Amino acid sequence: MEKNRLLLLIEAAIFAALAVILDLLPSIQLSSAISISIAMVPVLILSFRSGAKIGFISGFLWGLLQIVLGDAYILTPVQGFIDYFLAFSFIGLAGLFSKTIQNKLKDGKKSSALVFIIFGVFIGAFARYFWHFISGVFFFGEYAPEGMSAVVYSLIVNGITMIGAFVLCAVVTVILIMAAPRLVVK
Amino acid sequence: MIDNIIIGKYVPGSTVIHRMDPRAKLLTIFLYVFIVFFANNGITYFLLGLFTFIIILLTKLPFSFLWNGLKPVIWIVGFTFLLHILVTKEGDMLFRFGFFSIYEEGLRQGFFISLRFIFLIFMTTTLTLTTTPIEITDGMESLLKPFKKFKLPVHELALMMSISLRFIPTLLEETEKILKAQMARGVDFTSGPVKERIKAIVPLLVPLFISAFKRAEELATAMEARGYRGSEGRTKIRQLKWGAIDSIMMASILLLSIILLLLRA
Repeated sequence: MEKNRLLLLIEAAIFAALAVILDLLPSIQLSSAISISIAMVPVLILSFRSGAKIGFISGFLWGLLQIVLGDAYILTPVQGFIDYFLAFSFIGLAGLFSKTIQNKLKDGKKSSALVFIIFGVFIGAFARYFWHFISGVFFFGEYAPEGMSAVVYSLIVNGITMIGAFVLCAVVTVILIMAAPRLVVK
Repeated sequence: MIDNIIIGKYVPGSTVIHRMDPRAKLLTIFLYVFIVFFANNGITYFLLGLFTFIIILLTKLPFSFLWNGLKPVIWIVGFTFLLHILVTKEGDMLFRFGFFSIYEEGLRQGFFISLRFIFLIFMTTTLTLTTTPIEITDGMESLLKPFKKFKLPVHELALMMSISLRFIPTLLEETEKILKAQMARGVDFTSGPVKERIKAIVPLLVPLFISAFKRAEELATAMEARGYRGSEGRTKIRQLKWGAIDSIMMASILLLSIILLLLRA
């Protein structure tokens, strides 16, 4: 196995571990259903550094780690699969513009890099919570009585969480990359 | 602030359940998550509960451990229970107070759905209480082997999982060290306005991430130097052994599935 590929895989693994650790730090809790944490930041940084594919792998590992460590809540097969296999992986989509961001940072165009970073964080957060929303619909479809609108409830809870997570992670990611561009520029 | 954090839920022990092959445990849980939804009347819920209860007894773990697993979602259990009571208006009316009324069917539904919830949490918690994360990873790798044919990089994923698990304690220690160093400089992580707390995160995360990249680089070099070449011909330090108890467990869960299918309404 060539060393570069091995290094990328190890970075994905270590940054998934960092996500687990940051998840333990006190997060901003709006209610028992809605808690906003910076745990996505390692996966976002890695996506900007090494692209969407590596971000995807790192996110996938993070989901898997939660299952293995017993932090996952699997209440229906579909919900478990979507929440822990799909949702976290899709944070990696943030890395779609990794090349653009790196080039702009190299050229010293900080403010236009900033726009792409924020956009990238938005895509990652949106993709993740989109899947949490879908799993919420399945979950409430299974558990709520007939006639309750699962779609509306899931949309509200996941929508608020998504906006909060996006704002917090965007702020932290931007500050981090501006303070230390070498986190993403190799 | 980080001293008393325990990663993972594993409680060491030597009971039958502890000693089971992780593959058998994973397959049991996998089936269980599906068959929980077969139960829809008194007798099927009773049998499901009995099975769950026997497994919990076999683990010889204090009930408080299971309760801790349930605590974070207890509000969802309560919420779904209430929803069913308030929304389902079938069967005999049991209670009425103004607009508020409870029907027999609602109470029944709410009770069953909450039970389903609790059973699921108990079973998944039992798995992580009695199996180390690395055992679960080994089990998953072994079970997913057939998917290698479909280009799923099973070996690489398992390798990355074990690297993650190996590095969680190390990185946690490092986080703690940096936190303390920054606190010694007067950075306040726990109080103050949100804006200040977000700013305080930067001197924590930058050194943490930079050192994580360094560790990755060192590990890659070390593995390369020792001739790591991917999964081909690699031997394992931990070998999985399928024993009689594993077959018995598989037989019991299959039997339970069939009985539930036959007895469900």
